[in-house]
Amino acid sequence: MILADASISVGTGWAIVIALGVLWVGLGLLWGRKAKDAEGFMLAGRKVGLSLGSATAMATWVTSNTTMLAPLFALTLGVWGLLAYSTASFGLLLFALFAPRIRRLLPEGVTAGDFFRLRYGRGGWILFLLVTMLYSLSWLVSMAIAGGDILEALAGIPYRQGMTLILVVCVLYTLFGGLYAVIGTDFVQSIIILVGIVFVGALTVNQLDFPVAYEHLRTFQPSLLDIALPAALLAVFNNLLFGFGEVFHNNVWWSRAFAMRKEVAPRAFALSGLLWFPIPIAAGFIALAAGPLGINVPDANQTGPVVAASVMENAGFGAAAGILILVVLFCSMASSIDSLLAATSDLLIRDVNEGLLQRRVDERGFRKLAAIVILSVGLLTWLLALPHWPIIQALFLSGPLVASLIWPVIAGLFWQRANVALVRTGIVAGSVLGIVAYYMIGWFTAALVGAGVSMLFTLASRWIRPMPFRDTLSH
Amino acid sequence: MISWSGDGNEIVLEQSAEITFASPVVRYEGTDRSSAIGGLPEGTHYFRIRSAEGGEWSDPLAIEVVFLERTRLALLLAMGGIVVAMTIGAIVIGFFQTRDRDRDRKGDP
Repeated sequence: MILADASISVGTGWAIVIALGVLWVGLGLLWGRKAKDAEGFMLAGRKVGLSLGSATAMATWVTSNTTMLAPLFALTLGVWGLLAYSTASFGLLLFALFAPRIRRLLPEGVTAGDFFRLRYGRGGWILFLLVTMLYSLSWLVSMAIAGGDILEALAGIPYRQGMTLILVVCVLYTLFGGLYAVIGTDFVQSIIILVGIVFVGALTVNQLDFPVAYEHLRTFQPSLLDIALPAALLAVFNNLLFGFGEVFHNNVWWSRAFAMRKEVAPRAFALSGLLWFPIPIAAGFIALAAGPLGINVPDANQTGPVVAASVMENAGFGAAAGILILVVLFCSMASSIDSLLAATSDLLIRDVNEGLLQRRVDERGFRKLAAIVILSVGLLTWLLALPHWPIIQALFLSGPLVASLIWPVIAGLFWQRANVALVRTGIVAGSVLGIVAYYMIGWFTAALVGAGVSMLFTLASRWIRPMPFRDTLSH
Repeated sequence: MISWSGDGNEIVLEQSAEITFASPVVRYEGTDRSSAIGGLPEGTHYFRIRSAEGGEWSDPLAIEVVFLERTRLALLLAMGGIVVAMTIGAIVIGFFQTRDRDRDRKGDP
């Protein structure tokens, strides 16, 4: 599908994407020079400050899902849908409370895997690796697919070419610069994303007659204003818990907690949560305005770009509409793909290669191995994105899996003892029953069931034959 | 999402709560070939299209919107409220307890 109103020529599309690609790769090379050793490459020397720290956390959390799914949530679930999506920021706000404890427990920690190995032994660690690899890969592939779709819709670039281009750019600058490059580019990308969304939001507000819009929604789409819309109410809890599960377990956030200066991490995560909160509301609000502004949305998955393009066209921006949307969406995807590439590669090097396979790597061999792993993850993502299958379903299905890790993370960080076998059983039971709920009741209950079941097992583990946790990690 | 085939000419899409289309409303007028429609209340909704220049209406398309059963909804909402409240509570309590504990034994990891 090509968005006629916003479409730009194929040549312009290629020029924009290549220009952005050269910019990110150039910055990656420049900032990557700071990475002198493995710790510099993986954790940016553990010296990231407040502004870069909060910007990278915020930008990583603004994905193509935020800019594409938040409008879809608003279009289908109304006002509650907007709030449901924005509750994902609570994960970042609460992670701010985890950060001091993470640094206290693992002063030399590198990945989230270190924590699971310390607290839940080899079995819990392998369970974590299975869940996080499935989740991270589906997130990565879903964004590569979204990137290809967007380049095709906005610029007419064939899906395979567009998807390949966005992946190549992100792989290259992650490869050259590691976390230094990821965090630096995230900072620039977060500013572009914020400016773009605020700009389109302001144009929408300017064009909307609020009493007329309210009357239109009340007449034609009354459920969007219904405060008791069942799926929307459940989506609030489900999204909240899905977001908790995503942030609490994933190495993207743990690596940032290890990379930021100790005293900065809590404030940076809290600030990023506050900065992120209004973004889905602004993106979703644009979708709520579609009906009242007389904008037809031919494909629900393209709600955001369609409405943004129409609003900018109405304001007289012409072809600039397509360019701005392309730049903002490209930044939102790149800021997440690079972080995931880096964090997933760190897990493969540290947890799989050094941990499971017991292969030690010296400083000289590290960069070579890091390059091979980043290229391999990029290649695997490309291969999985090539058939253009509905990977977003796999991402949603991973909701109960990641939600089942919420309570094990809480217990491992804050409790002194637990029955580890019971906690591990809870992760498996929560994942299985959450997937059953996904199919039997609906997607909007899966993470809730997963988190609830795992919570019961973890709480029971505190009283049924608990054992003190180990406090140090043996390598 | 409702989609239809056509030759690129302008069409009119109408919606009504009755199959007779006694009091229809126009949902879309233009050359697109589909429309994502959300926010409909519970019940059956009917849609039909025809060329904007006039002519015969298509056969009506019936779409039934069914919400989750109320008792099940109440149970799931209660579960959601409890799980979320306990999760946030456990984090906040855990944070303050470990902060005090860690402060008391500084230097001991």
